[in-house]
Amino acid sequence: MPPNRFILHRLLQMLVVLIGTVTVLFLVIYLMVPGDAAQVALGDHATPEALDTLRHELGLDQPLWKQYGIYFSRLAHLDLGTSYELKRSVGSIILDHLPATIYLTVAALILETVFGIGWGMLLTLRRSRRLRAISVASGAVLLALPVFFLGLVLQYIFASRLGILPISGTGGWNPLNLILPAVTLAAAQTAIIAAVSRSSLSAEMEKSYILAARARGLTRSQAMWRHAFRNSFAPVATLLAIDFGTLLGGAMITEIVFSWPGLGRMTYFAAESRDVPLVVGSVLVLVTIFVIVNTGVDIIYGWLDPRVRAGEGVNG
Amino acid sequence: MDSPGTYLETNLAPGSALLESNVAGRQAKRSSNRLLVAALLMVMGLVLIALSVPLLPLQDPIATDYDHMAEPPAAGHLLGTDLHGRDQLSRLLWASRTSLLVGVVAIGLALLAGIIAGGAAAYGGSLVDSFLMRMADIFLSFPIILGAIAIMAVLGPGRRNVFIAIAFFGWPVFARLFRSSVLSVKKLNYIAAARVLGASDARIFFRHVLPNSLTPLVSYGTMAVGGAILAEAGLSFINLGVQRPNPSWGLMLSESMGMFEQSPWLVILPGVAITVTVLIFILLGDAATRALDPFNSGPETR
Repeated sequence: MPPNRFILHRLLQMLVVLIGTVTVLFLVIYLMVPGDAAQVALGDHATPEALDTLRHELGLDQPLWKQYGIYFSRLAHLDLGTSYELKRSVGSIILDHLPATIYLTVAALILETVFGIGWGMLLTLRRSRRLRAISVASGAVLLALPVFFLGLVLQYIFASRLGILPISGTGGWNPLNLILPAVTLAAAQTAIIAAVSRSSLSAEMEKSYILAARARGLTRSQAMWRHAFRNSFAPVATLLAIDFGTLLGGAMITEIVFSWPGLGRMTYFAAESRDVPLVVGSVLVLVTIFVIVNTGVDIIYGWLDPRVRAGEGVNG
Repeated sequence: MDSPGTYLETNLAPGSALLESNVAGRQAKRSSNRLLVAALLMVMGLVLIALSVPLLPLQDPIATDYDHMAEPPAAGHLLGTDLHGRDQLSRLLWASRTSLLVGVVAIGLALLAGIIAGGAAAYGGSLVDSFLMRMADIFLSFPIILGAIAIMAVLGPGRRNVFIAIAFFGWPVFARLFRSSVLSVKKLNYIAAARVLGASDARIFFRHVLPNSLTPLVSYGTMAVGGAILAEAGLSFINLGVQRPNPSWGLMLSESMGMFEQSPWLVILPGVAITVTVLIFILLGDAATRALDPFNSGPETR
């Protein structure tokens, strides 16, 4: 596929996914809310007149397809509605909480990139059975550990016992406060990155151009750094892009454990008080960021690597 | 120039790569079978514990006793009591039923939906196929916990809604796996042979295509049960899953999260219970992948 057509194709696919996402969320709200949104918004003790007024305001007295149209035109104007609880625009609440989540997510992403790839490289270079067995076992434990349990244990060890790191909050954006939540959030994905980068790198190291490089006198590690690493990076990069979304969404529980004032924790409080517009708005924002980042990485990779454009990429 | 003799000699001489990899391959196969048996036994152990809980002489997992709050493990309460004086051992064991039930039911629903959607995509022509696969893309763009939060916000918390939330966002992977698996099985010779012998489409599907397409779903599904157990624990931890006073490991942790200093067993035991259970399902999934993989012939294959 030529580069321009590939980019267009990916952008169209992104658009379809985003419109679909909005539709799924619309159907979730309008078909699954027991009773109706006006009742949920005003509570059980609302007068029938107040309910009717709000229903009219929200367009709930219109047929479904018309409501769908209204919903879309609101979104086109970046209007995500008004929070039931806070009586403020959902967009402004989300903007208040987004930076903290991005800060945490990016920190976790850096951690898992550095440690995951480092771990994978170590396993590729030192082909010892014992190291491999220990890695597989510890990786499986990292995957099985619930985020909140890991968070509580780390808090206990490093904050309560040793007293070397703050227990929670951002401490006015103090980098020390970032360490524990970022490690907690990154732990499971680090194991996955390590496994993928090991298998991708080991496969690359078996190729004949590495043999040629070795024949020219490069050591294994030189050959890995100068040649194999670059060529083995595509699946890892794709996975990292997907992880960015997983971390954004998965940050919720970490944020709750560490009282981190991000979007996830806010969404949780909103879900608890069943503030549907706020929950749906922030889910929509997080999913949109995820889809855009994914498409962006795909396009960059397709541009750099013709193999991806030809459909050999991990994402197909 | 290359006689068969020299070919065999160079390639099968002691210490040559081919011979070595064959031996290593057999060893890997044998050790992966052992791993599979061990993992299966552990899962059966878990299921046995969960099933036998009502028959065991346990204390009431829900009855509170405010004279014996947060007591350390002792003769009366082998694993101590929680903040409401409830027996921790009994709650841990009863909660294992919740976890396994959520894992099995939620993934069962996702599997069923995935098989239907994936089968329809594989058989329904290109329009149905691309529609269903784009649907799968859409659902895959939701991180599961986030999607679950949206569902819980709308439907309200509770165990049944945990099933729905996990299945709602869990089906696309099964659908994709089943679709590609059916498409590759459909092309095989024995399907053509069955058709020549006069088998009906339904018979071919249920007797041949379906059973032979399920393999990749089995190993992924096993790991997904672990994932569902983690998701349930997470949702219960943030009070959107199983509701008080019913026992769930995630809920038990959230009730005692401030108690690490005074009563560490209240935090550590449920945490370890979740980790070990999920680990066992990951192991089984991994062992199944290796044992069922016909190309698993070398130590490097994972």
